Amino acid sequence: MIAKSFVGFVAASLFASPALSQSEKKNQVERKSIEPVILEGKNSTGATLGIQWAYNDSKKLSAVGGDSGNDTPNPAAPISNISLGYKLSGTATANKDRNPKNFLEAQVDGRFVYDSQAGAFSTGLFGKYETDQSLDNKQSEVGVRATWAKYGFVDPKKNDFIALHGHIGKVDPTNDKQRKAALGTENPPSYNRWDVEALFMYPLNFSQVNGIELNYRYFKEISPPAAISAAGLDNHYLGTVRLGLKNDFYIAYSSGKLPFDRQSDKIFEAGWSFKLQ
Amino acid sequence: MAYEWRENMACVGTYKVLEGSNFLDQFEDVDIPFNKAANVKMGSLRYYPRTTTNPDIIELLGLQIGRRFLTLLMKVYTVKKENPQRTSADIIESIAAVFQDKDKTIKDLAEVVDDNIKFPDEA
Repeated sequence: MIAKSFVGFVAASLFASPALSQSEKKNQVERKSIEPVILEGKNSTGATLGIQWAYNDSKKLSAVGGDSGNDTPNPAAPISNISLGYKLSGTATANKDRNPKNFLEAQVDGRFVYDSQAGAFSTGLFGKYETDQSLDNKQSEVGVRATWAKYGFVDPKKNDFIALHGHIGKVDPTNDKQRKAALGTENPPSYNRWDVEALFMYPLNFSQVNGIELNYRYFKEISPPAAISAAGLDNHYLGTVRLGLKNDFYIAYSSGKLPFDRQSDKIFEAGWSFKLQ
Repeated sequence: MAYEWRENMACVGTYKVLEGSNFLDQFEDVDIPFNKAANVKMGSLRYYPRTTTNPDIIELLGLQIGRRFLTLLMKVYTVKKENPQRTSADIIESIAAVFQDKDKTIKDLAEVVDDNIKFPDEA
């Protein structure tokens, strides 16, 4: 164990370079990293030394319009661009059977954004592929999403904000215990789902209340198996109302719950939440 | 060299537009006076959502409020582009990037404003 730690320390000292290169140019963001890691192998097979790497790049492919050469900025100038981003990352170990992480994760994200005084809109398509080092377990995912938003929706001078977001994609239920139990299998297949989110924020100029924020999210599985519908796992919703008080205090009420794979998005527990002192 | 929060038009204008009740009204001057505003995080201001972390929504929110911020700033001061070769869309996107990041500060916003906008107090 000491020997492994020593080897790891020496390797880390020699190769540690969490950010070998990072450049941010106009219309392009590029990040690379490679670093040695010591991983605890699968099924308690012991520690193993590996290399973890990542490469990100995003590039604005086109930007429509522009007033380059004018002296005065124009706050009404529309923004319209198409961008493409991709991310490659993975972990490789000397012994592929001891690698608990993904050997390769590849993600491509293409998107279009339009913003003007009338509102903003974005839509995007993404694809993801991941595999372990043995190449036995592979998984792919494709999704599409769209978002619309407007600041000053009720009144341009009121600083209110509204946004609507929709997404359709494939869900990986590998760690979803409820789904495994409902389907009676340890390896439930991936499934398709759509979800929508609505957000509305409105400022309130009361002496102790800054504003109100409403958020509603709904998730619906597409063509669910009967066992999933019977167990009530084919749709989920979460609605939250939050009153913002002075000094960042708040009172919030949430109803419903998020699906298993989105639990990390949970901000408030169901029921009343307070931060008053 | 780190940007300095001081009483120039970029910092004062940024503060006025964020604070003014006729502008973005993000806080009260009695709670956050000018000399204490520099390190206030964008995520603590009123515009930043507390009920979602959806990055697509926050991206569009940043663009919309960034555009509004520039509109209001130009009502306070008569300004020009620092670099006429930059498009207005580029300037709005630079400002929006600060509004999109909850960990950026009001001083970060003033720095981006100063980098992109030429104020009357700059020769």
